[in-house]
Amino acid sequence: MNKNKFKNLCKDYIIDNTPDISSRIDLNNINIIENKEKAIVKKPIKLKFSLPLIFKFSLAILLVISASLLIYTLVKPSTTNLEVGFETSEQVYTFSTLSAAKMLDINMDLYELNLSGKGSGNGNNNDDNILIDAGLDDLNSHINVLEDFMGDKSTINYENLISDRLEYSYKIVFSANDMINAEKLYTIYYNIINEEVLELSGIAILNDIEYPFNGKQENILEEQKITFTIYSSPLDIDNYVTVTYKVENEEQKFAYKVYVASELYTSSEISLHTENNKLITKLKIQNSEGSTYDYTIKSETVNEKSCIKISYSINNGADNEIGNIEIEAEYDEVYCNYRYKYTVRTNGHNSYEYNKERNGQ
Amino acid sequence: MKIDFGCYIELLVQKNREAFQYVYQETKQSVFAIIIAVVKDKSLAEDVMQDTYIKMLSYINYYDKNKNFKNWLLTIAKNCAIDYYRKRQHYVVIDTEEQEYLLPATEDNNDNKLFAKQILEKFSVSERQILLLHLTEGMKFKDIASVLNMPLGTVLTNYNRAIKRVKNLKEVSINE
Repeated sequence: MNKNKFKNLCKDYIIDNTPDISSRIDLNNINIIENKEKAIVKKPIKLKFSLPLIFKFSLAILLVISASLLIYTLVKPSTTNLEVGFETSEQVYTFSTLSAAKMLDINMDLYELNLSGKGSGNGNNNDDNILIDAGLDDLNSHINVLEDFMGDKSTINYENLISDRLEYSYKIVFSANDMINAEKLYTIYYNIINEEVLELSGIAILNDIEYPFNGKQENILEEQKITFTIYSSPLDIDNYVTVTYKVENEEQKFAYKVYVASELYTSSEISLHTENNKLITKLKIQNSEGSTYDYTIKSETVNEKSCIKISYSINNGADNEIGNIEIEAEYDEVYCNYRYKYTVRTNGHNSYEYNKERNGQ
Repeated sequence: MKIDFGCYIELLVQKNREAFQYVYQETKQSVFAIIIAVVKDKSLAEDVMQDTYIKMLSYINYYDKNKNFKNWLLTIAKNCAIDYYRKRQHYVVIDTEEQEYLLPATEDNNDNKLFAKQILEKFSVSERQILLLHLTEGMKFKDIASVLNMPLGTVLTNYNRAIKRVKNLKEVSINE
């Protein structure tokens, strides 16, 4: 049967058969129950000093940077704030699991669009053949993932709370303001199954959906890394993301592999480090055609408006391209929501504008 | 089109009839769709719809204004439908993937027998809920995932599986 015919049959059925029961409801006889809100007991962040070596290392880097900043501040007072990557193991767990869950969510959307043949398109109107065209959808899915973590650090908060779910010992609530200054709130619950080799199991909650995950530390040739696997659901083991965390050359690296229907759908690597007290994110994406996309991403505030600035280089085996991208969130009157506006400037070309989905809208 | 129910919530708390009528008219088809997908019987669906709206009004103070009102109402409807069958089945635990085998086939006396036969019988409960909410009500997969408390990936997998089966329905209807 044709999908449209089927759709019309379904619509007709619902329209023809929906009963009118509103007259059966006597509003005066309804007892509206009062809501006695329970106050959430908040516990201040407590650093765990029995951290594995991998986190001690990042903590040591933080302490060195903090000390340097303190000296610098004493000598020459400045309004510049110190910005570092992830300071505690909890922050690493939170970023790993939430970013992977978001990546899974977004890539399932892209997968569905590809299946239905709709495609999101690039939304540009240029006739030039520029390499960045083919990479913008992949870049956009990562910008959707990173946006909440790249804002003003004063608005980003990781809270260790008392777990309110019996099956989990630990609860972390992540909150941040996004580019349009809207508050985002995500939660993870987890248990440490084995402290000796660091084995974790838990759930990440995004938009009321629970994504189960497990994490395990591995030691290979004195290099330590933690691999998290985030599933689409406890019953759906065919759709998942693996994210491997390690520290290399003073950079915190997160390597992602997204599997849809048990097949590798896309892979990428995000690195974080500090430079002049600014958080710099590097993103590397290799697509199935062998092209490599390298992006250096930072968040800035211009005229009290947040924007993301990116420098990029692309190598497809035959050609290279470098350029810059500026991303802003703009209200779209047609879609009635905020979408990303990309302004791309390639070396040797004019600038191009693209509109891209934000938060799956 | 996404409707903002925000300004009607206070009026519902005050038991305002006009506000209730507006909310009812704007949501009744979606509520019916999610219920009929579970109970498969129009007269039973009417009872569950009534319970749903009464429960919604009773617990209106528990609605979180930062969340989507329609999704919240549909979650109540889904739970009412499942509760209803749990009670009818004498505490048989319903697995949302398998519950179609537990539900009794019912006589549907509406004119659209094709729908009754093909939708209510040939798809699982989850598939019916996703198909009806997406195809008839235009709900986004993310909202359906939220209402059914399923990961987006599972919703998409179920939807794609069901849509593939829709193509096979052609031969059934021709043969009939």
